[in-house]
Amino acid sequence: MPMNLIEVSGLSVNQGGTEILKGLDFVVAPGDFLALVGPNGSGKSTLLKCLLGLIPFSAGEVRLFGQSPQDFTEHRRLGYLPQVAGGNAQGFPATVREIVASGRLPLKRFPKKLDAGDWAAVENILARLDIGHLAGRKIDRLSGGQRQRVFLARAMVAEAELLFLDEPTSALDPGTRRSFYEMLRDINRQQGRSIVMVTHDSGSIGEYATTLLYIDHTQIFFGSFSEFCHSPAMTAYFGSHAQHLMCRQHGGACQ
Amino acid sequence: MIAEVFAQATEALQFSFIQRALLAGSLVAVSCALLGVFLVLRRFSMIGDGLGHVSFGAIGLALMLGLHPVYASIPVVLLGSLWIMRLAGRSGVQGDAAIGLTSAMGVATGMMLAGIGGGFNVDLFSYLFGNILVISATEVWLSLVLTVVVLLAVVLFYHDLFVIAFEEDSAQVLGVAADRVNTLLVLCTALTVVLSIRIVGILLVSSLIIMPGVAALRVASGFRSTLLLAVVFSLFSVWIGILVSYLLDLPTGATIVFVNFFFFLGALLVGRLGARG
Repeated sequence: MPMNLIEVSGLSVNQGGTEILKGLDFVVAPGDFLALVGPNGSGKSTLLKCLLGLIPFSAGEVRLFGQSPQDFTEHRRLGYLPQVAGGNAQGFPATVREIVASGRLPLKRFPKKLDAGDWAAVENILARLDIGHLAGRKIDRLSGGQRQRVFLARAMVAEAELLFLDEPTSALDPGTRRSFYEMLRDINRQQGRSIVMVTHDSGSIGEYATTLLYIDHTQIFFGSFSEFCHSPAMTAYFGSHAQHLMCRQHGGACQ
Repeated sequence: MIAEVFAQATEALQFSFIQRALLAGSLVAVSCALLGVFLVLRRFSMIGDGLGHVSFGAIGLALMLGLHPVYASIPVVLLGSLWIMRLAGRSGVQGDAAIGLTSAMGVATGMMLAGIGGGFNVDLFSYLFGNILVISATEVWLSLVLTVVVLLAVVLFYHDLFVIAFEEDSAQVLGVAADRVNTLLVLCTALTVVLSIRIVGILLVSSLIIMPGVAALRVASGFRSTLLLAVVFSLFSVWIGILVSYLLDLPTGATIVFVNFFFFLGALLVGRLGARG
């Protein structure tokens, strides 16, 4: 049986005396597309950063490809699209090509140098995400939706096995969001990459993701979408009417 | 008229103190411009000002103890840069506040020492306003070593500096040791600040770091071209500033800053025209 990509047990995160997360237990297996859902301020982005070793945890255990996130060395296996991707993008003088190419750095050793193969990989991923025409544009001249695709390209350009996406559709209109999800589904199912995605879109994500982790500081639910629709824990949390509406939006996922 | 100015400039270039000034100025200009682009993008550009003020305290101490002000400043400013980084990092103080706090302590220390030592003297004032025309051969060599170190750092860590300037969290996930690269950046900045003080003085040292980068950011179309353009602006500002100040008998540091500012205004105009077109 292949090793789980992520194993979390009894995870708690405490920041400045406030418990942000408490007692989380879940796994992400190869091929999973995990939707991480919860209300605003429930700790979703904190959890993602904790899995990536960007913030410490106060209790429990996290294994990322079998390693502790704090001592993680296999960065080539990860792709990351942060919540405010390119928080510094305004006025930043780099082109789309330069930004995406930086996603190849985990493949490099000191002194890091990008070669023709790296630039070919950049052109290739830009074409696959249908943004090849933006390659020479400065990053701060792009719309929010275009930027999201650029940062997804950066997360994918090193052919990482596991993608962490923090609200990647927040700047997209509903039509673009649907095609974005379809693209993620292809990445997940056809290319076999695993995805952990933070989203507020608990309504329609069930059509694309394979598993759901619902948190509100504590873990409310972890499992498949069909289990979600019949979960007493979710009924207790949402009320049966709201749960029914959400499950209807998931389409076939809850049948 | 033009021929006369040209003749005077040619004559000026014969003097060894002008040659030394141009050489040291050019070297420091390159370092300041390269580091400045990264510092401006990190919203950390006022660190130059803060470290300049730290060196004021160090120079006050050196003058009181009879040490060489530049050499005595180097370790103090290096420590000051690490202190600012630590305050702004693990201690959670906001970056600008960490710089402001350290800066104030630097000036207060200098004033305190000057007071104890019997008041301000001419030497201390010369460091406040700079005097590139009295730069020594040793300082030229130091500037050369510094510039080589900065160039090597930028070339060897170019991609790491690039991703950190863009976004630190992503940089760490990309396997970049952000803490180590940040430390390298501020230590290089500290050394550059100490050597820049002779050129424009403590009060204007941050301008050498900030202005070329900000001007280049208005007009450059990519990251490498931003670095290159910042170096070009910085070099021409120093060259024109030194010659104009000599010909018109103006303060050199202030003249360099004015030329830098004109480059910035020009870049602002070109950038706006480019955005409309």
